[in-house]
Amino acid sequence: MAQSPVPIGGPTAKSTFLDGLWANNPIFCQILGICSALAVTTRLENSLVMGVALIFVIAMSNLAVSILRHLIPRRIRMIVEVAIIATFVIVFDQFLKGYYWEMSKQLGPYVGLIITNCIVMGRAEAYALQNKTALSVIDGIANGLGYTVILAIIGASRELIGTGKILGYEVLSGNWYVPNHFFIYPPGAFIALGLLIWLIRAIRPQEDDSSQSGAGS
Amino acid sequence: MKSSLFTVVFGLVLGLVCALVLTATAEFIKPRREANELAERYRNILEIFDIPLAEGAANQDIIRAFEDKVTIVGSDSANPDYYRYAQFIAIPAQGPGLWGPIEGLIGLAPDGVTITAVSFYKQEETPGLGGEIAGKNFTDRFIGKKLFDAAGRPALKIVRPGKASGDYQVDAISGATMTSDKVQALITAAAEKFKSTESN
Repeated sequence: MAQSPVPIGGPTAKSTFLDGLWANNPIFCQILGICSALAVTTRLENSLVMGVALIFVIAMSNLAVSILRHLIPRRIRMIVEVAIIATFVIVFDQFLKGYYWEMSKQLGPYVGLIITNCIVMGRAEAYALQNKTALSVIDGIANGLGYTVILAIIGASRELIGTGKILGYEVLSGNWYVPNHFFIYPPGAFIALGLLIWLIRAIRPQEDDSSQSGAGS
Repeated sequence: MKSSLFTVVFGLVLGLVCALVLTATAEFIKPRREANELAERYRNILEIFDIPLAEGAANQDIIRAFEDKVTIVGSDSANPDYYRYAQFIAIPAQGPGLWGPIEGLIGLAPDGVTITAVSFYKQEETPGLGGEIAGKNFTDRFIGKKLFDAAGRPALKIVRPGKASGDYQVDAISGATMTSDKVQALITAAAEKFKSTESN
């Protein structure tokens, strides 16, 4: 993995934040969270709500895991992490069902599926178990933001190309723009995400790419 | 030994805390969630009757419009026999689909035979194939067709794409034979159930 160098004396708030947002971004660096990034990015609004959900869940689960990190018995630590993550995911899902019904219907099962999102458990395992509480929360927010930014870019471009609109407002006039519906169908998601990852990796300063890990869900 | 005991206690306490958090959240949200679900159900019925709703109508508006105009017929109001608006009728139609349950409504004109509208508001069929049953492109094919023949038997048939003719036939979706068969079955079942409740 393209791990950025950890400053001497352990991670600081700033290094943690930049790491999650850019240097070790969960989507384009670690290629995690791809399923949801493909599934919910038909519209910008959906992408943003999904991003908020992930920021909330990672921040809260990192907080809880970090507070309990000296107590959690090693042998059941993964079960503990999943239980904590699942609790926060269901809380968020219930919140959507109560206060944001239309969005809850559109996101369908994908909010519940955050429980199995590799990013969330990855951060609990890789960061919150070893680091102080405040830093863990920053790490969670940064990784959630890193995910959100990428989803927002894909969501905005798919909505714009596929329907000529952004957040439901017409941007490209129907008089001369013919919407390319291909981009709001699933194959369009693969192409949009693939192009974006390629673009970002092309403009990033070159790092050691030889030890790239495989994909996760 | 001591550490295993701690592991068990830790698991129990964590489970208890998580369960408490979830129960509290669910109870807190419950009234709003149920209002949303009810409004959603009523909205589907209002749409079948083509009763206009204001853009972005709030839950209370939908529920009030429904209660003003629509009569629920049947002993069980959560699962009624049919709905009535003036002389128009809407029959609930549900049954298994290919991947999950399908729920829909069939709207009938005052003659009790001619279809005015059809909707499948809940389905999990294959996107792009069977999933197209929810789209207007498919549901509009039912408009003006007849659910019952002259003898009052369920007569509507979903036939191979492009073969439909007359008052009793509707084109299926190409590539979605299995979903079409399920839709056929649930429409016939709904029609039969409607006839049996009506004759009582």
